[in-house]
Amino acid sequence: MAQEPAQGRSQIVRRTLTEILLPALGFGLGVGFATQAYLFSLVTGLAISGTIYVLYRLDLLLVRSHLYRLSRDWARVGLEMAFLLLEHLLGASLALLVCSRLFGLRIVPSAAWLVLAAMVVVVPVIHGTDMALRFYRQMKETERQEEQLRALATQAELTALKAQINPHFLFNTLNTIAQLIHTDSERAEATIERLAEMFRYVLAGSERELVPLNEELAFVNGYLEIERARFGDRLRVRRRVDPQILHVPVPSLILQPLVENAVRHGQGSDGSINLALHVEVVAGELVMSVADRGRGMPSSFRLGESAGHGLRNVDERMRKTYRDTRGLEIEDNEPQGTVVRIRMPLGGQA
Amino acid sequence: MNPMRAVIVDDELPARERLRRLLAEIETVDVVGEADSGQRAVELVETLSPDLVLLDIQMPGLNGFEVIEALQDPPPVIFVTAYDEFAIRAFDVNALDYLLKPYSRERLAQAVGRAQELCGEDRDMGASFGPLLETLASEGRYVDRLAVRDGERIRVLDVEQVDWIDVADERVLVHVGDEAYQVRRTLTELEKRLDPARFFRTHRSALVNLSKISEVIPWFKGSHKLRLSSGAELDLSRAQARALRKLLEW
Repeated sequence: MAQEPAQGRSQIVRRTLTEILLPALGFGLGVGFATQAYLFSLVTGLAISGTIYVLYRLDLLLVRSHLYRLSRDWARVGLEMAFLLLEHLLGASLALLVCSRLFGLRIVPSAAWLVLAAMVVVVPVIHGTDMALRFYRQMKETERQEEQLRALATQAELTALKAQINPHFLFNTLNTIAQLIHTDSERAEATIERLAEMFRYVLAGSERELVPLNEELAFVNGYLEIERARFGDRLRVRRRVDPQILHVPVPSLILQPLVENAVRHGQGSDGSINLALHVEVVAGELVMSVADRGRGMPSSFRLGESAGHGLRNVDERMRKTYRDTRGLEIEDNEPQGTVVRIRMPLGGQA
Repeated sequence: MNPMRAVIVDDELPARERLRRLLAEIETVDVVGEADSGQRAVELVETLSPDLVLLDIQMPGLNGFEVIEALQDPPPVIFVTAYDEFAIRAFDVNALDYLLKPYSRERLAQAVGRAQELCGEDRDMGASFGPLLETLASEGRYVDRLAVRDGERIRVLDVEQVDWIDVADERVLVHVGDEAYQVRRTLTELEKRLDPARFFRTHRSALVNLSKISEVIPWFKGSHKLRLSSGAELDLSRAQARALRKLLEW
């Protein structure tokens, strides 16, 4: 999480105060009480506190990062507390030893032991409580974030499903069938069959991540057959599919939204819909593209802003499925219209 | 009473056929024409002056709303849509009738009956469509295309192509390059239905396409001149110069 610089600075100040200066004062007063040499004692206190702090940072750097792998949270906290205690004992003894030699302090043994014991117990308890609190908050936060992620995933699934079964498409198709029953009953029957196949594929597709390319293409063909019943000869599709790659796994329901987008937005001013559908291998990648000869995307078009847009869904899914993806690419077609393209590694996996 | 003369507008043949078949069962309606695009719809309505239009919304070229926008004196309309949450909310707000595909013949008959009452009242339909178009615009659905007069013909312009729109001799003219086409709308009406992020009112009688401005030249007493990429120059009033300065952040 990015932190505001100002907040970062205030945190450093707070840390220095609570973790070095305040303990240093406590240690110094304690040592002073034991030695009756207060000036040197404050310096000694600072040395103790500093040594402990250095040990603590070293421990954070070298040991704690491994502790985070421990699965049981409370075992982790216990270990962390033990480490803290050890650091305090070690740091205090070390600094005290060095300083007493250096300043020639004469320690009154009974008082010194009392103080040392107090410091070594009280300070880790304060630190430990603080740490436990922070840890608890962190755990709650992680839980909340996981909850949020789960909600997002469900939302994404729902949106994907809704985008596939575009209500506009569904109701228009039903209206078409209602007429075809009277004028062309065989076509009506075929349209119902295609519609049923589409729904089955969508329902299965929400469980299957990857499908062989030829299944995805069959789905797109079924969709186009239905649109043909609506638009008649106004809809023309040129296909170029490399027969070598028909069994390559691709994300399910990734191509149809591109075709549907082209059908909806790629109509020329005379109402004709001329599409070119290409699936081929280019530079070791599987490339799918759909080109139309409509009036082109408005210059104000932004993928992220188009809520409920099938294209955005494809873009998001590409980014989730493949690590090094450019996502959905949108270009102008020549002389007019739009080309929408996706690329994926041939293996089908990220 | 004479039957109502109706026009069917839908870009899909089976949809038109179904409407025609179901309307044939209603004695009080006579289908006098069919259009398969918004542009042809405008031409057909202007030549035939029907009593009723059954108008599909999603069409290539002009959509149903842009057809309404283009008509000078629109007849009663029954909107037809498969699914359009935006539009349906706008219809409900403005108490306008619509059919959802696939509609039943009972629902169609009901809608036609209501239209007939409207017809008898001889209401000014333009007055009731204005608020509808404004509702849509307030929801961010601005007009993308304009139908303009090109002699006898209707020409469809992408609003992105338009350089500027102004008023001359009480005629509203849409300028595209060297051409100027007349629209039968007031400038204020157009301003309400065009995306304000795209069109800007330079003074009382002109709207300019912001993306076509190539230069802003300081003129006298705080007023400015706008030079467009087409080379045309427009006046910019002092008050509007301030507003434009904010918008373009110059």
